[in-house]
Amino acid sequence: MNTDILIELRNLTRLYGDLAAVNQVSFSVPRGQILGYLGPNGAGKTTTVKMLTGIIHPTDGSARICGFDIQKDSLEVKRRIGYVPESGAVYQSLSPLEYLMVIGRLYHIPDQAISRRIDEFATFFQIGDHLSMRMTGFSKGMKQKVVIAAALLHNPEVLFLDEPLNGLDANTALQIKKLLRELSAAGKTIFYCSHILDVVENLCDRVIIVNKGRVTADGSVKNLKEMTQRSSLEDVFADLTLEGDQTEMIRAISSQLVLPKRDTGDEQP
Amino acid sequence: MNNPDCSDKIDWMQVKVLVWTGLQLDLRGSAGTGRLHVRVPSLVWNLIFYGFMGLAVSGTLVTSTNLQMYGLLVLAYSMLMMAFSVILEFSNSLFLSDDADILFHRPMHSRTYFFARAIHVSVYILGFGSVLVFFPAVFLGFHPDAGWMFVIPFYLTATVAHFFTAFAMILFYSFLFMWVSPERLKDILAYIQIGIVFVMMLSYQVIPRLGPVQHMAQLPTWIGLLPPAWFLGLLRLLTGDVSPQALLFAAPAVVITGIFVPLFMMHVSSRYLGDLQKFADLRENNRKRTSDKKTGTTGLPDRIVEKLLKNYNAVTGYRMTTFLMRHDRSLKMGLYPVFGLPLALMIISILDGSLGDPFVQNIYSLQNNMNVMAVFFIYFMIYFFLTGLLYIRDWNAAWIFFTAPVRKPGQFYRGVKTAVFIRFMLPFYLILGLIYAFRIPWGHAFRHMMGLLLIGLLAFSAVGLTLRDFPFSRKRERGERMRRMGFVLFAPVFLVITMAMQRLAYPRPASYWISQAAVLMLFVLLETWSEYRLNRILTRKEYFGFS
Repeated sequence: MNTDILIELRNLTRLYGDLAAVNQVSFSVPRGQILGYLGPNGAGKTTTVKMLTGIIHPTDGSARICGFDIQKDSLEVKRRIGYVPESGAVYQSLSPLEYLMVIGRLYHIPDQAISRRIDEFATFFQIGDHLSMRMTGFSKGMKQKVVIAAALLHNPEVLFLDEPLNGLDANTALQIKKLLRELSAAGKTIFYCSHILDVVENLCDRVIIVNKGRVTADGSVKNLKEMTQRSSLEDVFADLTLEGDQTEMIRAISSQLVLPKRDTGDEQP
Repeated sequence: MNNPDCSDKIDWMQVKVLVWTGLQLDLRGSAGTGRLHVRVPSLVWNLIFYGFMGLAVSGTLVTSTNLQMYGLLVLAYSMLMMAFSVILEFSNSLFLSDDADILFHRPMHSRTYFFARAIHVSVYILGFGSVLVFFPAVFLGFHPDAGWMFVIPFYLTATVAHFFTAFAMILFYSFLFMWVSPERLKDILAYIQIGIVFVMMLSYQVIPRLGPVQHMAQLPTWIGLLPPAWFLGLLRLLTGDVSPQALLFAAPAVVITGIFVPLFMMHVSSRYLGDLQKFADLRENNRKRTSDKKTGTTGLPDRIVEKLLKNYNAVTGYRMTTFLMRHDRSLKMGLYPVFGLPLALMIISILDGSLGDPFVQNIYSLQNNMNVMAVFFIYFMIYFFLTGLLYIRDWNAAWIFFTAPVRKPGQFYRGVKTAVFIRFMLPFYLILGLIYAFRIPWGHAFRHMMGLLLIGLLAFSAVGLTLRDFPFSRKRERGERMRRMGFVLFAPVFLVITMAMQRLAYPRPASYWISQAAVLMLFVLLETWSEYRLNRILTRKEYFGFS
């Protein structure tokens, strides 16, 4: 077992009836790497993450996280991972304090340690004033901060982040990106799903692009640009995932949507 | 929404789309966190439940010698059922929870939205109402004094009565919107819910006790004050009884249903969407401080319980339940009302004189039916309460259970049940004991309360055998509460155990204690089995809460 490989997928597959949401996906991620996992809507990104985090089971293939099989040793895997889902769903009638206490207990963290970590996160995310308020009226960004804090509470080795910057203000987003780099430098592996390609380009050491359940590209941003001879990740992404020439279609649609010039009455008929 | 470009007219295209979508959603139900498989829609469960209730009400004809009384009772019951249904499903029927996000920014006039939802509700009234009065109508057809000629007028009258009830309730709520803050309105809805359950159950007991009325061919005029009598008047007119009393009774039905209800509807419809938007806005801004205590949010008694529970998963379940029951209004209001009914029935049975000393006489007989009903509703309450903890507004937050390293997820329920037992069951049974102590010696009251508590615990464990989901992980959907009420079949089993124990074990102290020990052992066995089963089921479960 290679202890430097923290995530390893072998022909991982998930079927929904006849539809293969994830189709024989294989790759590995070493310790300390920030992996950007990209793909158009419905490409199978979230399904992959859901399998790796134990939320759903693979139909076929296998995966190991920190050396543990996600199906046979699912508890060992879950102990070592943190997850921020795209939905950011929380029990809103609880306060962040109560929610984090419950989460801490799920990971068997003693109350005192939970309190200490909550204090740290409250300072970092500047939510100290809101710790005892119900989350019912929180903005999406505020709830997202709580979800990220919950994912980090038990100090996981691998982080799965699905659109973690959703709803966050620019300052907090910047802080999170810095934090992720620090965590990566400290040896934590980060699996980062996002549609915001600029962030992925700046943050991730390596990018995997999936389309229709299969891996279509894998490499550093620089490699991918060279490979496709494109200047930005956005163009690389479009090249690998868009079918046909979109330019004509865009022209056709926009020509229908552009309003005709309003008759001001100044001109003579 | 109230776009200045929109006319005040109803946009029937939009109405059609809204009604179609609403009905589609009802038929599909939701997957919740469970497996994505085809489920029996809630609608079907509801229809079965209404049919069952109708059959139960038909039984009145067997005991009632008076056809008018039968008509009055059936109309009263079905109208109350309709009112109850509108209350239970109010937020789902008239205001779909996603509407705020999906529709409120669209160019749609209030009147269009109101009529779409009103038509949606009407489909339900027609469907449920027809099923509800099906058996009573069939019974009427076989009745020698009525016959099949009565069936169609009866059906028509009942349908008008159902529409009247549902729309009167809707109007009542709409007016409440104008004067009451949305948060307060939620409380009021819950209290009305409790009130209607009381009226529903108690009227069944009280009306037959009016004695002389039941045997009178002509009903007393004061009965005309009750809305069901208005529709009985209408029925009498339709079946050829054009007597002054029938005309007097029918007049309010015709005037109110035909004139006032439509007039008020027109008035309410124009401001309906605006009021709902106010409702949604305030719901979103409910920022309330929960606690300033740092660690917890948990007090000393809770800390002691947590120490005793030891197990981390059980503590998590306990904590979640106590926190959510403390703060989540929808959860509280959905569950607390069930405590009222058994207590009220118990008090009535004392006032009624039907509650005697169970160690001296048989307290569960046809003569003491109030007492039997009270015990029946204790078990019903236990079932309803525990299964109710599955449903919560933020059900999709349950993903945390699936990503956490939990070997025995059934242990969550150990904590959940402990919280319910300590915070709700124990106080309930203590109050019950105090009520008993008014009528029977303290020692007997205590022993009887303990007997009931132990069988209650047994019922509590048995509920565990019906669970297949994590606590607080299922979406509230139309018919969910009604569907759970359909499981009233659960309660009779424990009612029979209670009756058997009182009959066989109470007479001798030795047999009493042996029976208590046996129930306790059975409870431990059932609890172990229940937890083992939940561990097995929940470990395999997948989460489909978000795509």
